[in-house]
Parts: sequence; structure tokens; C-alpha cells
Amino acid sequence: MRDNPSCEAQQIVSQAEIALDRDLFFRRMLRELTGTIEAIVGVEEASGYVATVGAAIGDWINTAYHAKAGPEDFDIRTVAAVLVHLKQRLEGGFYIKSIDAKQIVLGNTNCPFGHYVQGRTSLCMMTSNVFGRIAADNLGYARVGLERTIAQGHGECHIVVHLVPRENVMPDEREYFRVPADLSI
Amino acid sequence: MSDMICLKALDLLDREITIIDISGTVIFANEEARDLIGAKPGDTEAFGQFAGLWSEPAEEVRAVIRRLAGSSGWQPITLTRKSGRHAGLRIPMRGRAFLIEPNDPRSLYILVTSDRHRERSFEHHRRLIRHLNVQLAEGSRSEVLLTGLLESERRMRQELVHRVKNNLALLLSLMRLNRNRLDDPEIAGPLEDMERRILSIATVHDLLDRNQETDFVRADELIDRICAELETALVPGTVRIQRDLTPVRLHISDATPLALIINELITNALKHAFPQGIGTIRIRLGKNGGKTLKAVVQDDGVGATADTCESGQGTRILQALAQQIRGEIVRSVESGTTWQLTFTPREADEYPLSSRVH
Repeated sequence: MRDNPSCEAQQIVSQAEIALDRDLFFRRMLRELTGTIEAIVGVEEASGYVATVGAAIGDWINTAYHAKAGPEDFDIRTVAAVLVHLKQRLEGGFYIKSIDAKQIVLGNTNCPFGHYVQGRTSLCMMTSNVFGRIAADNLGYARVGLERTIAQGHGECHIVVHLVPRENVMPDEREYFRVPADLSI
Repeated sequence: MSDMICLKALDLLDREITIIDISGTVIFANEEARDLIGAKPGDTEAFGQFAGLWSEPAEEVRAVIRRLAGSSGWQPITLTRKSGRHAGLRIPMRGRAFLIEPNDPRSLYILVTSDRHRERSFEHHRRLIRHLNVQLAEGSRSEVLLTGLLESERRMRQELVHRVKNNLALLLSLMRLNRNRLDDPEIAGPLEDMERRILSIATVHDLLDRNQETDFVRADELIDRICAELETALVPGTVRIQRDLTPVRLHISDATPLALIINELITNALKHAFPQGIGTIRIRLGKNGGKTLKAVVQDDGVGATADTCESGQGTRILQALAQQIRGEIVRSVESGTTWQLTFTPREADEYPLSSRVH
């Protein structure tokens, strides 16, 4: 008498070592989604969409840290610590290279999106917006420069969060402003 | 001077440029944006609140402005125009913030511009509307021109009808004058028959002229007029012509042969049916089901023999006229003679366009 074929198939499937879990699924989905958007509307337009999402995520994370640490603005060192901490929570390899009154310099050895970020430069707008939003909302102004990124094919990211405005902004930089809370908009 | 040049250059751009301050007030709009906003041409201020331009709730628009105000990165937005000729249209735009004074956070402004990339379908839509508007204007001008030409043509046709009527009346007068000089009844009789046929045609034109028509007459009025003319000219007081006529409009292409047929049948009846000079002729015109008409001319006289009628010139004329209106005419002889004509009047679209427009 033969074994039930459907039970045998179930056993094969359950024992298969497929690299699939919820985290991988979402990262893969994000890669495909951003790839599709970049292909259809272009990298610049796709970056605009990701920036919109990044701003909302930045707001959300900033609010979450303030909910624990109090409503007062964070100082530069705390902001830098928050940036590194939030990325570590996402399994990123971010670390502080240097801090002074004018800028926070960060490095990153491991992107939270993993290798799925390669070739998807619009996803870097997530980091720029989250970092810029948190820094500007606490320190008044931020200008994030993504000088080197894993997405572009570099081995490590090199990110500078400038804290002082200047007249000329470099092409790879984005400015973030704190919108005064007392304004009517 | 350089400010004026910059403003002029911004006005010349083929995309909307709007600048909003951090209170949400529109402080600048170039010419394209003024058109979109619905501001009067030349307006350079008093554009009001940005949130007031859109159908979305003001709080939702303010959240969009606040989001744009937070970054120098271009971000896409889409809002629905509240009023003006673009009312109800979803407008794809992109916006970003910029700082005028690096150390003054209150010098923050938001630049909003139409999104050329996403606007393609909108622009296509707008071009289509412009194209349709141009076509509509051209169509309206053509309609005015064509209406004028048709009116002119109608007046000319009315004038033609009037002149034909007068010429036929003149022709009849000349024929009567000549006939009255003739002593030989063998010659005068056929001339009189010809006069009555011409009179039937003249009656069609007289009705057209009286009613200021060019192509259609009431068949019941036409038959009634023919009967009245024959009563005056031919019918002795002892012969009656009874009419039962349904009102129906006929094109002159059908009405003229019908007038000739009715004239021929009444004349024949008067000539042959009543040797004693006493009798009745009944004429009916009505619908025979569907679009077919039936005209019946019936007398209560002695009737003519079939051989005589079918070989006579009058009968050949009758058959030819019936064919002309794609009809059929049949005769039956019992206590008197009955002629029955059935035909389907041509539809209005079987005639030239000018015949149908009044």
C-alpha cells in the first residue's frame, strides 16, 4: 500500500529550506516596488515619493523618541544617538564618525534594506528624510548629504548631516526645515 | 529692473508657479498659475489662502503645505481645483520649501509647480478641451454661415415658386384667350383638358406661395382646391363633389402627380358618368395602414366600359402619373366607377437637404 501522495508532498514542502520570512518578504517587496516606480516615473520622481513617506516616518519616529524622553528638543549628541539607535533597531550598521556644532557625520556598513537596496537609490531618500526630519525638528535645520551609498555600489555609506544653512546646496544634499509650530498652516 | 525681468520670465513659463508663505497665503502666482487659480489677468496679489483653492478639506491641504514646508526635496502632491474652469480636475503638482534668509526660519517659503511628468495626461486633457473649444467656435461660425446661406436659398426658392405660379397663371390666361376664339369643339376640348392639367400644377405652386413653403403642401388642401376649381368651371349644379380628406403633408414630387390624377379622375367622371347630369362624386384621402396613403375617387354614375377606359389617353396618363409616385391605381366598375390609388409618400430624407430645411 502506497503512502498518501499529498502527505508526502506536504513533507517535502515543509522541509524545504527556502529563504523566506516576513522581513525578507517586505524587503523584497520594497525592492520590486521601488524598482517598478523608478522604471515608470524615473529615479527623481520615485525619490519624491519615497521622500514623502520618509518625512512621515521621520515624524513618527521623532514623536516616539520624544514620547519616552520628553518634549524638549534633543541636543546634537542625542540626535546623533537617536539616528544610530533607530537604524540599529532596523538591523542597520550605522555609527557616528564625528560630531561638532556644524555637522554630524555617520557611516553605515549594513543597510536595513540589505542587499535589496543595491541599484535602488530612491530608497536612500528614506534615510535622508528620516535623519533630516529628526535633526531639523530638534535642531532647527538640517541638510543631509549622501556622499557615498551602498545603493550606488559603495561598500559603505558616508552621510553628513549639516546643521548650519548655507547659500549653495550641493546636488546630493537636501535641506530640512523646522516649520514653526505657532504658524497657522 | 532685474525683478521685472524675472517676473516677466516666470509669466512666460508654460507651467504654473505658485509661492506660498508659511502662513499658507499665496504671495506669488505666475500667469499660468493665475489662470489655474482663476485670478483676473494682470492680478499680482490678493490670491488668498492656498487651502481655499482646493476642494479638499482645509486641514488636509494645510497638512500638505506643512509637509512641503519641511524639506527642500521635491515632493508630489495632487489636489482638486475647487472653482473656475478647471473645477473638479485633479491637478498633479510638486512642491518644495526654500529659505531666503539662512538664519531666519520665518523666511521659509513653499514653491509649488505643476508636475510636468504626471501632468501629461492632464495636459493632454487640457489640449483636447482647447482643441474642442476651437472646433466648437469654428462649428458655431460655420453654422451661422450655413444658416444664412440656407435662409438665402429658401428665399430664392420662394421667389422661384412665386414666379412659376405667376407664369403658369399667365400661360393659363393666354390659353383661355386663344381657346375662346376657337369655334371647333374638336380642338377646344383637348385645349380645355390641357388647361385644367396646367391649373392643377398651378394650384400646387399657389399653395406653396400662400404658405411660404418651397417643397411641401397639404394634400387635403390641394385636393379641396382642385375640386373647388372644377366645381366652378365644369360641374353643373346637379352634380355634387363630396370630400373626406385626411390632413397630410406631401412633397411636391408626390403632390403634383397626385393633383393631376385627381383632376383627371374627376374630369373623367364628369364627362362620362352622368349622362343625365345628376350624381355624386366622392373623394377620400386617408392613411392605408403604415405609411401608405389611399386616394379614392368614386362616382355613382353609369360607369364606362373597361375596354374604353384602359385604352384611352386619360388612362395612360393616370398609369404614368401613378408610376411617377411609385403607386398603383386600379379601377372597379359596379354601380358606378371607383378609382383607387395607393402610394407611399417619399420620406423627407429622400429629397435633397435644401428641401428639408426650413
